[in-house]
Amino acid sequence: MGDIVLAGSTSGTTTLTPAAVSGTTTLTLPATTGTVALYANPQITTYTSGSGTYTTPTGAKYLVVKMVGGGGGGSGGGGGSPSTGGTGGTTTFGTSLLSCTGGSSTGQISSSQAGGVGTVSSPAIGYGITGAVSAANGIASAVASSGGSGGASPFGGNGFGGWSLNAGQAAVANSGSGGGGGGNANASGYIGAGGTAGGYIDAIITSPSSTYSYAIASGGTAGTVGTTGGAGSVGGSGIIIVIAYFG
Amino acid sequence: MIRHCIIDTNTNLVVNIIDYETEQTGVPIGLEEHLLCVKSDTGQIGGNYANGVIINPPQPKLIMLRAAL
Repeated sequence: MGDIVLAGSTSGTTTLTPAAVSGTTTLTLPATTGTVALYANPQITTYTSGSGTYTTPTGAKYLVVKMVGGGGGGSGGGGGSPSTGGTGGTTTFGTSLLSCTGGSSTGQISSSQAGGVGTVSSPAIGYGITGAVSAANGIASAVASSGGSGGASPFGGNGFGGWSLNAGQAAVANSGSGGGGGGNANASGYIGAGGTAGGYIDAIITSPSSTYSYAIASGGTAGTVGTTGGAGSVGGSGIIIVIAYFG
Repeated sequence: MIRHCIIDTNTNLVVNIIDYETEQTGVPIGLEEHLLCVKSDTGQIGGNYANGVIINPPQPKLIMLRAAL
């Protein structure tokens, strides 16, 4: 077996070398005009803030996109008028293509919480997960109780509820998880609910376009403390991870 | 990070919240022309933007549930 050497049109050469094994192997070229792509490592692009335009790398065959919306802020605890945590922003990729709305907070622990929603639209395919709700960490009495923990996104990093007079723990940046609710030490007060998680998406875009707009959600604001309690904490901001595959 | 509200100029409502590393004005980078970027620490989604001020929607009604003894 020998090499085939192709001389360049102006300079240089390309050598085709068969594998050093016995037997017969066949290399069949595609019946189309174009450039044969060799294996290349996937190219990963991560966005953690702001907005802008993603440019699909030359030669990319498909994109895998993982993204999450902003987590809801934890609500304040205590008596009087603690405030509700803010709703997280919406993370988007493409125009009306991929969208993850933010988590929210209901003020005090309740059963009516709702996480953010992940929506995958054609031609993208994949699935969206609704954000997890806050864990109710309140114990027997409204006195010296712990606020609710924030709901966790698939990235984790949710904030724990604060105990008694303590503020809840902030969710980790770019986690999309909820912030912790404030504690309560007021006999007439209530613990703060944690924020719910933002919606999550795992999607594939085949035959990708040349560019896509994107926006990264902010986490929800923290709820303020009431009387003899703890404040809530901020939710985690969103993130987009784009993996371009060439093979 | 600097918190910004994204305003839909067709409705003057806050439609998103985005953090940027630097203060932004005008159309948000990479997004549609009918959107406006306004720095705000307190604006919330659903808030109304008029004369440079964002008026937030009413807070959701608090649901008070005392934990069982």
